Amino acid sequence: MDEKQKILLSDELTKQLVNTPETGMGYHKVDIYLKNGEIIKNQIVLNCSILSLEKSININIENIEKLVVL
Amino acid sequence: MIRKLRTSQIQELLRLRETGMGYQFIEAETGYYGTKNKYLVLNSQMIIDDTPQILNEVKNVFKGGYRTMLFSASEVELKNIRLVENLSNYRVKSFSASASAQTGAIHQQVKYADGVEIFTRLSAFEDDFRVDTVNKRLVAGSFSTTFEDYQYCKKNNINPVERYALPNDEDIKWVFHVRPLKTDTLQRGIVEPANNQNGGGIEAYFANGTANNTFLEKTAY
Repeated sequence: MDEKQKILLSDELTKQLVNTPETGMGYHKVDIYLKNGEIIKNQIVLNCSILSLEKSININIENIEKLVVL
Repeated sequence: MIRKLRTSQIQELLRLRETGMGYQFIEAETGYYGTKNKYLVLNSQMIIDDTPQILNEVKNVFKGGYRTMLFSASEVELKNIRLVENLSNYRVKSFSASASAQTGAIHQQVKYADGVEIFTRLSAFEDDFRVDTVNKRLVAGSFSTTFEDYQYCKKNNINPVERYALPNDEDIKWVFHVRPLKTDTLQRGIVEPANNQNGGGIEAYFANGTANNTFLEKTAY
């Protein structure tokens, strides 16, 4: 499996995911909406709290506007 | 026809490779006259005759619940078991297509728990956020597998990341056991291929979570 970077989500986003049905056991598949209008599609969040991203994707956690669970 | 194997024969099936995740295609003899037939074997335990009705029978297993169907199935003894590449009425492609399209828990009928069966949630994280340890329950919209399937996975040294089609690049380290009440509802299915994994394990989806005090314990995997 490709190496991924792990980004810890804010408590607010974690709380949102805890209250949203899972995609599968222990994970959500999400689209990430950034404050600059960019959308990073089809990403994985583990345990409602850890965003697993390709190392080539460079984002700052503070720039996440919202997560939409697929 | 759906039947089940005796424990000794389950061990025999476990020594043979799987045709796909969670199933085997076999040929074997039954009965006094040694009639040779082909069968689909689920979980090395449940056998389904290779007849034109086989697809419907597999669907009935997914709908009715593996454990329920197993309970009502009669035992059969097979002789001269050998693996085969295909069944006459159930090609690998149709099985795979069926599995990927319809077997997931969220596609299955909502049923009440029996108040006895234990479900197990596997996690790489000790502080699994979907296990509410304050109220001792699973939160709404959470998946698990059955305790029985977890045991099968562990006993046979199957990688749970593959069996439950998880995206994890970390190992499963923790298990959370839950016994839902009779008032809790769930949907039970077979894990569909996802995240470059085959799936094939049993999954249960608790759309409304489970009642308070249903979380039993957390143990190491």
